[in-house]
Amino acid sequence: MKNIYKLMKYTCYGLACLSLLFNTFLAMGQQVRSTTILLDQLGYYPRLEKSAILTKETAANSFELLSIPNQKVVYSGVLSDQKSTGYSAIKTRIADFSNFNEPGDYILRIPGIGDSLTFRIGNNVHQELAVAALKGFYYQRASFALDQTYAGKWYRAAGHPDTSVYIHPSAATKNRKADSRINVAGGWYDAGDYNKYIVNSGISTATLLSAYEDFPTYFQGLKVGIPHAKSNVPDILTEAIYNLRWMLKMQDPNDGGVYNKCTNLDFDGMIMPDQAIAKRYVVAKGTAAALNLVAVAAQASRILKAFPSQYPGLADSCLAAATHAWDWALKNPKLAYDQDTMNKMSDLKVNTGAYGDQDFEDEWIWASAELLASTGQQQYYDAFFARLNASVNLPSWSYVGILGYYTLIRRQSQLSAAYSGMTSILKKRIVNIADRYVSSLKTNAYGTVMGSAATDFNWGSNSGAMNQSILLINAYLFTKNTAYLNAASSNLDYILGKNATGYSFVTGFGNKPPMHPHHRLSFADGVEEPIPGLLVGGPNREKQDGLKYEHAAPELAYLDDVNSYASNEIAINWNAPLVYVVNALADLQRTLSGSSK
Amino acid sequence: MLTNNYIALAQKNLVSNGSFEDELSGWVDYSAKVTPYIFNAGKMSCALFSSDASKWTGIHQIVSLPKNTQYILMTAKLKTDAVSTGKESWNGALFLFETLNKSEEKIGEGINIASITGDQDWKLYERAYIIPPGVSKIKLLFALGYVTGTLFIDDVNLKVISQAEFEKHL
Repeated sequence: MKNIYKLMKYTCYGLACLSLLFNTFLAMGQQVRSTTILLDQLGYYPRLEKSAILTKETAANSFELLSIPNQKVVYSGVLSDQKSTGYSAIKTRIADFSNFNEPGDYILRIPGIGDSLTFRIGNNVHQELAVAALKGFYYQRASFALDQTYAGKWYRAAGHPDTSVYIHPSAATKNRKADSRINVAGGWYDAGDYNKYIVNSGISTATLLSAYEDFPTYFQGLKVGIPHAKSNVPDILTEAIYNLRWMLKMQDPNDGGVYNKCTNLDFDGMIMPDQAIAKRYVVAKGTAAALNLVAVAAQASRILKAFPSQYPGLADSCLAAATHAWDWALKNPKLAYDQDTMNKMSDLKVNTGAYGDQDFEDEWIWASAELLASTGQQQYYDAFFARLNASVNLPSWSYVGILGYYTLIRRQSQLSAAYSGMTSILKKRIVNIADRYVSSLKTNAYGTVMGSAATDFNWGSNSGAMNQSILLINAYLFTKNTAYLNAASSNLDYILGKNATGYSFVTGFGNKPPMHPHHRLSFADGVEEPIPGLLVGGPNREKQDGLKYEHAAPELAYLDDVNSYASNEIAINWNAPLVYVVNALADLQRTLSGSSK
Repeated sequence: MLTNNYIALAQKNLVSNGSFEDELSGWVDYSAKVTPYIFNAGKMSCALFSSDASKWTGIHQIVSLPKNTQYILMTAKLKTDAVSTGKESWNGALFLFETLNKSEEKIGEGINIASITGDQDWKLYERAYIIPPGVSKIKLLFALGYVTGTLFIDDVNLKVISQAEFEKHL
């Protein structure tokens, strides 16, 4: 299918070629492939809900599923009434074929419209994506040469050794003076750029660790082909630990504080990492950075206790780092990273990503929850309980409180009775949000949770969709209500093509994937195809990159353009929830029985 | 005994004279009145009136919480007449609370339960709240916050509730 897409894409084939194809289709008794029938290009799980959307007006009221290659009608259904988004002029109709569960290859045909792409129903439809999304983190490794054995045609030399990184004046202390140097090697490049940010690393690493904690047996069996895997250590932990070790290096052992980032002063050009040789700095300690390390290191400490021979002492080191950073944060409870103010006080002006959070209550919630789950100590319960009135929202790099909710619910049976009782409050709050999502799914013009409001289409909107799914999966895990699982799955369908743009938003996957992500590694490596398994930001109605977008509608505000950092960048905090959702659904759908309805 | 004590506390309105039947006893007021002409229940309500939008006109009461209180429910019936809109979005006829420590020092910011403008008939406003460690008292405040008009207040209640009751309000 990828070849067909490319064939369609290259204008050199022109109209003559398209005409030939058209005639051939007709001669074979087939209808023209419609670009207005939008569906999950990788396919559907038999026991979860399945639907496609039609974005073109039609008098037809029915649709058919035909098996491939014999083109036999295997299912007929009725199109929904016309639906409207409420924020754009696009009208849709939904073809719901959830009642059809037979594995195989199919097309969806709508009279007067044409045929959909061929798609699959099966138990393993997302398995390759599940592997690739996790492997995407391996491709993001800094200070690390990617061997062809593991990286294939995307192999590359190591860049940014970061073994001798300068202390920026904003980070200088008595023990670590400005312009002295430290080793902060390793970690993942944050996004399309080559800098490393603790705040964004926090939620990314934690999401991978949580995926493992929620589905440990599944992940023991998931092999993604990365080096240095230790015996009986699942690849997801191997990869998370690669970044964890870097995060630990970002802590000043003298006081427990944590630097916000390891960065150039300015973004590198669109070059390969081994050619990027600008001076690197660690910049300003901060409360958000410290609490991110607290949370991740505390979570890692309890997971690593199960791997004492593979990682001797690392669990203890993580817990020590977490409590040290906690103590620092108690003394510095509101130290924000304000890059603009910092730049006014230094000649070494930093112009890379800020991740400048001002409100730390959610970081305190998350950090206290992780320490409570790992230690059971009263002081962390008190700190968590003190903030239990705070509202919870979908997680992002700047809002992490609900990650603590997930953890305490997950660890409820390991908490003492004095502490575990309050988890019913956490569950109620999560269910309230999950119910709202399920409700919006029923009315949404795209048959997904994502896109229920125009505000869903913001910077990194695809990660919002995936974090909605994580919340729904968490709700499913403690309620076993399959409506939540179906709602979670609807957003994965969105990511993989059941959206207004018709793109599958993951590089290398689907019939129409992004080919030009804002990603230095993919741009500069000389390989035509971008590194696979990476989730791009997605439609963003705010279009901060100033580029000319073809469409005004929020759900179409996407450009497959290397310069479109507002809609087509990749980022670790966007890929991590993709890893969670794809793998969680791959595991959970096997446990379902009967029809999806 | 614990259970009996809890039931007793859970039933008790910890607000003194919350229905204003004993005029303004128990309340600290700044030009509030009680009125027998407009009330939600009983025979009286409290009325705050302001014709000066540059002023804060209000009443408050500090309520001591029983030891180890974890969950409370605060409720009040409010009615407004011709309350103007102020310069700030939060200006209006207000029902809010502050958390205090043993020494009656404020902890954190005040939390708004209601902010009303215009005309509104009697309506119940409520807020379930988790008492953070270190909080011993709650300061309940009603005010015309930098607006003109009239606010009527009746049936003010603060009671200790169970976690299960608290969850019903989520």
